[in-house]
Amino acid sequence: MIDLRISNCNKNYGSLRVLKDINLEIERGEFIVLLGPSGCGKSTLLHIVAGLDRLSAGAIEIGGRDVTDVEPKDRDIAMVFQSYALYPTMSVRSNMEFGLRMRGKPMSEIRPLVEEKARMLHIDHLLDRRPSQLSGGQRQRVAIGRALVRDPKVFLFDEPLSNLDAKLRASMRTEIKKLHQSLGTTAIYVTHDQLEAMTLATRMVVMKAGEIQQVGKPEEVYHRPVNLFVADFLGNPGMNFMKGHLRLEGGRVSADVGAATIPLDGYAFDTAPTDGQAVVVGLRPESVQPSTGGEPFALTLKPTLIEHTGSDNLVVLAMGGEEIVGKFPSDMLPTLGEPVTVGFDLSRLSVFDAQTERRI
Amino acid sequence: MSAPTDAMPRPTRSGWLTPRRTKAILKRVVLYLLLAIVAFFFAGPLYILLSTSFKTMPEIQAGGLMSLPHEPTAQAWVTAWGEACIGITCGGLKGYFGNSMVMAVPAVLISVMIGAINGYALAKWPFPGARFVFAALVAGNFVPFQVVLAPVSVTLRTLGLFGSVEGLILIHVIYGIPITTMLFRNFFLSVPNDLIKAARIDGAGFFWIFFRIVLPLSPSVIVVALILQFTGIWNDFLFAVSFSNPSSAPMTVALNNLVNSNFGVKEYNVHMAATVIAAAPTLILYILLGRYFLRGMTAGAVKG
Repeated sequence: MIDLRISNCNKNYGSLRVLKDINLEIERGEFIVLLGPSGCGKSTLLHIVAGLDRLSAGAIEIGGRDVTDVEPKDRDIAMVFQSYALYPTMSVRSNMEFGLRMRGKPMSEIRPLVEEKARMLHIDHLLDRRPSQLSGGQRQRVAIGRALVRDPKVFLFDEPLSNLDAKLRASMRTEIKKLHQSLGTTAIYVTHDQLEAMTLATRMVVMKAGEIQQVGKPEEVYHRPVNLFVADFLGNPGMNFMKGHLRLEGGRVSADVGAATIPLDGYAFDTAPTDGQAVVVGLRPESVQPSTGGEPFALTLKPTLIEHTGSDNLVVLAMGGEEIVGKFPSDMLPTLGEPVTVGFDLSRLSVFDAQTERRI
Repeated sequence: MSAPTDAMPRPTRSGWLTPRRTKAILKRVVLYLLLAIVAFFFAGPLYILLSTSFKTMPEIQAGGLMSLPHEPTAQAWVTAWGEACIGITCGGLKGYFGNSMVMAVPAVLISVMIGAINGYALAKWPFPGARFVFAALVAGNFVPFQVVLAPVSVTLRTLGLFGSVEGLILIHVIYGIPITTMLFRNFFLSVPNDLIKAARIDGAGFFWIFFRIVLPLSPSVIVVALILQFTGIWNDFLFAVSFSNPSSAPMTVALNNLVNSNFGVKEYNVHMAATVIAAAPTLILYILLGRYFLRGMTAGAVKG
């Protein structure tokens, strides 16, 4: 069952096209993460779904009902803001009650509901405080609680964790995930943090310059990016890119990237490769590992720089005139300048056309 | 436990009055001197006003402007309030004080309320042409009152409000709207947009958000607007003298008529008492709300 349908959504500010023909269908219970660099239109799209911004063309349907011209309050949504947007002059309790009171629910129903959700979020001891007396994490809990009590059809999150410090962000992320698993409410979550996107999303939508680049399960988007932008945007450290040309010889395909020729026998091409086609071969750092001897493809390269991250060693290797990064286990510490043999996991390769930048 | 401070090395006597310290002390002295002069400049007239109002006429005529009253008497206050002759009636200022109150209180409340709603709409509910409306309102602040005297006079006559307190209220409300709107609009710009959005999603409309979310955030700017408007309207003389008649004249007109009367002896003690009475409401308002006023003037300068 489709909970939210965005059809041909366009948004222009004067001559500036912020959103270009966005189409998206969201099933009930999905956790959709909109991911992209700042200015890609992801927040605008969320605001349009909320009804806070009007779209220039297109339609929005929530729960099978066309809400394109419906006020935010009548769309059956709740939103959590990056700035928390708690009402500063009201207590936590009043903040959580506000939406229900606006809807004319009797206080006898509101009270137990607010208290139940407050307990769920471990903020029941804070109900009589003002937002200014709370820490950032507590404020964000209250903001989530305020959305929860409304029991909406769709939850909207606008970078809710960006104002928290790294540790708190990670624990809140886990809690949001748990919350979604237990409630099963459809959610749209905007972030520029790829870790949040990867961990929270049941499906993620990568956007750039007002256009959807790729929609898919996180692992699918991560391992099979449809173009160079998505490949480059996801992953930390970023994907290694090796420029070269395709070679077709006797029914076998390989990529000549200058310093090496990478066999592409096992690669599932989306489009038929042509001989001499200019390509970019991508391989994530974790697919470049110290050789154990059994790999079908290995190279001996010189390490030029080593970064310790604690859990891994990031090893920068000279490959022809270029450099690639390998993610080595922390107990594998090569010596600078002394060649090491690294194995390439060819099943994780991505090949892009150099001109169109699309996956082939 | 920390070591007793006596054990700490002290600066030697000779090192105490360094050139740097001398300079700092001199700066302080000059500062306090200047402050004292300024304080005297503003408080002096008030002192003369008050001391003279408690003197008898013979004492005033004997001279000694700066001296305290020898035999303090409140007679001048009683006369000014209830007996002094203003024009052809001799009922003191009390009627005019009432006129001023009846004029100023509604005019202040209405103009502040309209200004607040206007400012809220302009700052938080952008509509096509909002910038033009705001520019026009700002320009309204710079229209000199003298320019509009004739048109306002015609308008009030047409409306049948000429010479009435209601007419004065109307004019003061209209001429208060630009400044109050500007004040509130600029303050409301600092209210986060996310708050408005959250409230809209929660189901609150234009006025609910205004009264439940935005106004509770704004006591300081409300006080600033109240004080500015009350002071301006209470002290206004031009509109008052132009559009009132003897029965609706506010304090400022009555005070002028009393003090500038050309008949008989000039009763300075009565004049001084009358002046203090005329100035009292704005003074009291400022003393009561001044704290908020200062806070409001600097609000928004530093983000909370």
